[in-house]
Amino acid sequence: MGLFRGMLTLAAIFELLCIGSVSAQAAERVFEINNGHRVRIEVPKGWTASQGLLNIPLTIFSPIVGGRRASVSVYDGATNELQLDPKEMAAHQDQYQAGRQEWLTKNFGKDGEVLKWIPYQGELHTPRGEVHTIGFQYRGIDLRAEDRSMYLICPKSRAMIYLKSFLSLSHEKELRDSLSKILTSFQCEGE
Amino acid sequence: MVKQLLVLILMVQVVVGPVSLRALAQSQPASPPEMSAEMAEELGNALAANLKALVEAPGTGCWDNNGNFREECLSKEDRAFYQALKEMGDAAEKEAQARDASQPPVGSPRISTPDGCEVSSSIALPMPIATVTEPQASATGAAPSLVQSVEAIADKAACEEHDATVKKESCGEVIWEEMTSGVLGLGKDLLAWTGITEKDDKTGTGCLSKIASHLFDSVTGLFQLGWSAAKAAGSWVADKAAGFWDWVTGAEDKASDNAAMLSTMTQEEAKHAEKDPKEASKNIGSRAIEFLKDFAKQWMVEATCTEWESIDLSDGTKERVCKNPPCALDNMSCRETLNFVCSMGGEVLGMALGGFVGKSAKSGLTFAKGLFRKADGALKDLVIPGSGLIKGSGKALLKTLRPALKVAEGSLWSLSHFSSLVGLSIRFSGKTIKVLAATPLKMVMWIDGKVWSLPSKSATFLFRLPYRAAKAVWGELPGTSAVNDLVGKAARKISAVGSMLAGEEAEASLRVIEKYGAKGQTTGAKFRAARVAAYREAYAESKAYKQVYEAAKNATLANPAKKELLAAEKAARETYERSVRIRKSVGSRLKTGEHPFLNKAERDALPPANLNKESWLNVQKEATSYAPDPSALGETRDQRKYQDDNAKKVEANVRTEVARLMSQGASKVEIEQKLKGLAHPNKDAKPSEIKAFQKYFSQDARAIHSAGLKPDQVQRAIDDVFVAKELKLKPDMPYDDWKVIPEIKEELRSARAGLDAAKDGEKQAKQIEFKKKLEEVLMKLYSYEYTKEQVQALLKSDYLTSEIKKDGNWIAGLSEADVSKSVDMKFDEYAKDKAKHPHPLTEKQKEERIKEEKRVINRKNHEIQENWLKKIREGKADPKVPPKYLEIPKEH
Repeated sequence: MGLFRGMLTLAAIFELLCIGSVSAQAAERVFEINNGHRVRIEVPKGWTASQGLLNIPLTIFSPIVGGRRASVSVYDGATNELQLDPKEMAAHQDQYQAGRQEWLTKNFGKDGEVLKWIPYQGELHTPRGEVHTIGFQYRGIDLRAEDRSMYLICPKSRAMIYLKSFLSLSHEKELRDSLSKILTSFQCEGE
Repeated sequence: MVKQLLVLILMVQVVVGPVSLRALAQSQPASPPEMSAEMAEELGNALAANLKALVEAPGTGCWDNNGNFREECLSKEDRAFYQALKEMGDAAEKEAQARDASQPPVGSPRISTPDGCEVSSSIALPMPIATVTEPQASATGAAPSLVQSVEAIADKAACEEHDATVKKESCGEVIWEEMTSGVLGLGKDLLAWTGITEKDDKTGTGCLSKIASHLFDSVTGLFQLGWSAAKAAGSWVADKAAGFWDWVTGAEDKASDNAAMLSTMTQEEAKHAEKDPKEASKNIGSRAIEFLKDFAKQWMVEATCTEWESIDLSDGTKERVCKNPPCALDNMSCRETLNFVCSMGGEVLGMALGGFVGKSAKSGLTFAKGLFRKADGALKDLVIPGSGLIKGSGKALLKTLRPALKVAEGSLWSLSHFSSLVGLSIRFSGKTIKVLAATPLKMVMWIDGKVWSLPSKSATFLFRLPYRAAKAVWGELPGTSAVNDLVGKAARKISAVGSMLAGEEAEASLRVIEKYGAKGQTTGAKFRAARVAAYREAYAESKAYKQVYEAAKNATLANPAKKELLAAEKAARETYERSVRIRKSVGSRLKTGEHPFLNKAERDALPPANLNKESWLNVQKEATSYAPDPSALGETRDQRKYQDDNAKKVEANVRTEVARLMSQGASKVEIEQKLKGLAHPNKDAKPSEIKAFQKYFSQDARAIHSAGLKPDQVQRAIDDVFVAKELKLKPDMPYDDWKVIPEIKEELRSARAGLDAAKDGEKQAKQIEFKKKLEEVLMKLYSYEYTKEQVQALLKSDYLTSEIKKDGNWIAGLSEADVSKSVDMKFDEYAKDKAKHPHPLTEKQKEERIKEEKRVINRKNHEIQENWLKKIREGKADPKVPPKYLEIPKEH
């Protein structure tokens, strides 16, 4: 009886671990996206990776939570030898904001509203290359969401990879950790 | 590929007109799929011939050889319009009175036709039903009953003609199949988008695939487009972070669109996504199209329904339902629906994405209801008896206002005004669009064998179809400049009509207010709201065009492409100008005391002595105001900022232009005339010179006005440059240096006002304040690198007299000699210790200033070089001895 009770407890703990944080069971996978670029990324358990959906090189999306899915889309970017200066990027982030505001107005009219700007952050020297992030939280029609962009410049090839993440704020608790894990794990393969 | 890219750019911004596309495509044989040069040429010629007929239609001689609307023609039209308007107003009012006496005001009883369509029992049908098979235009006759009759016929005809066996298909599926079977033009891009290769593709006509792909594209966006366009913008310099965010805007937009769409993915789509992304994409696409179809159908109901009722739902809520929906709607095929969707315009479709991603659980129908109420509520209140106006204002007010409303409702309010449209027909490869009747609110049109009664707003979109159609095939048409020219004229004509609508709404507003005073204010406001909506639409359109224009400018495109886009940009901007002219014309008319709206009795009741002068002044003020007031437009802060920024840029350009003209020896009066649009050519000038002169002058003045720059701002800019000249400052002074002069003028004016208003006990303190301000001004001028001689000259010039002097003497107890001495001392002091008096410009301003200086020097060096080369050709200079170029400043 005692053993049975112990097994039950273990099972309960195991279940809690699995449900409580899907990112705990992430699998590291390598994908080849357009232009021969290879990327390494952790795909959380329960999330799906799709290549070619809406012709996006790589999309990783969550299960439905509260009627919506979170996602990270990966696009191959420019191959220019980009030199981005974080100071300058930060100084001109109002241009990014103006562009997003316009997008919001175009798609949601007066219902569109910026809830919060996520300030630009840039790091030139990280093990995975240059990382530049920025984003915003918005309200649409029956929708509150976070839209983040990450521009990653691979350390050796200097290729730029562009990531777009989407998270519904109504159920962010359940999905934010997994989403963050994807973004932080993302790196150029073989560099 | 470049052509396709261009067309795609256009289509993302502007929804394509499907009727014409279909017509165009149907003129092509099914095979071979690619359009040959001969076919394209034939098509282009047909298009040109038909459009030529359009622009040369009777009553349209208001366009000069350059495609510009002739202003004098406008006033001529106005006269005819006002006369007709007055007569029709009288007639409409009589009819309204007769109707009031004979039947209840709202909710006219309806009768059903055998096929289930409803027509108003009060409407006589002077024309036999058979008439609809041979549409006859009539701009004269018993106007109100004509329009209503035609509308009734339209309803009935649509019911009779509808194909009862319309297949109840899944629209999304059908469109998707069509899309993926197309191999022509854009179909390929769409296939790329879906991930379907050409091998998977079935050969088809590609017609509907074009329509659908544009439609679909407008909803979902092509990510590749955004990113490719960004990548193509090779002009972005990698080390300029300033441009980075602008550079990626297109890509960001598309990625955000996609992300929002993906958030609505169903279980089924997700299941396919991993192993069969093509299938998943298809499902998402179909769902979006279905949404749009519902959205479009409901939009039509909202736009055309004339009677609503409230029904109780089982959950206790109430639902507003159209009592007499246009019967054709329910039986519209998928394709017919899409035709209408495409005529709705980019603005509404842009919103559809928001609806799709936001209300995925609900239908397009629900979304359209909400959207329409928001967008056109004000307009609808006017046209639907029994709606908001009655509820909001009470029946008593309605009774009082009804006669005016009857006219405003536009039974035939502007039939004469639209006479150039009534009877107009456009033919495309055997398909005909003909206008049977037109009012500001509704147009009854014959389109390809069916009669449609459409809101004018939508109908004008239909008239832009030729333009869009030409754009769509433009990349494939050889030598299409003639066609482009013609379609450009047609588009401009339509935009002018749109502007007239705005003008008419404004007139209606004025009339109601004039006639009913305070009671009419609410209604007047509603009219104004309608006008505001028209402006907003024009603004959005202009903005959309601007985006296309910017994209084209940045992209590496062939020159003809740029030219076309520039024309589109120009056409959009002209919408503003025309509406301004209309308003101006209305104002002039009213100002001179000719009151076109009132019948004799009304005029008698309103003798000039009793007119509210303030009201007239307001009319005059509004009519002569060139810039739309952003606050009245209800625009967002960003839009206002955009306008303000634009005005600033134009003001800077005006200064540059003044300096340029000045350097050519133009006098101040001449420059004022030119830039304020007052110039007249020399009477001895040759006709060609006069033409060029007028074109040049009017274009400049119009551009300035339409950019929102007020005449006094133009004058200030001119004054500033001339002050600079008087002060013998460098002729190509950077903008910031010019700007500081009016700034200090304002500062001194404010300080002087304080001094003038000071009471006896405060005078001393205010004098000290003024002196301090003067000192600050000196420091400021120093920091902008004015020399002390220049400042002395400035203080002695007339420019600042009103701020610093009284009866020729300095105020605040100062004397000319003291000030002069003080300037010398201060400037010497500043020069000694520069560190204490840093330049006030920000780093960015400094950078821009250096850039501008470099530009000026480069230009001058170019002139020096040109002169040198000219002299060499004339044998007056030695080619071995280079000229002395100016040095480019390195760093400040």
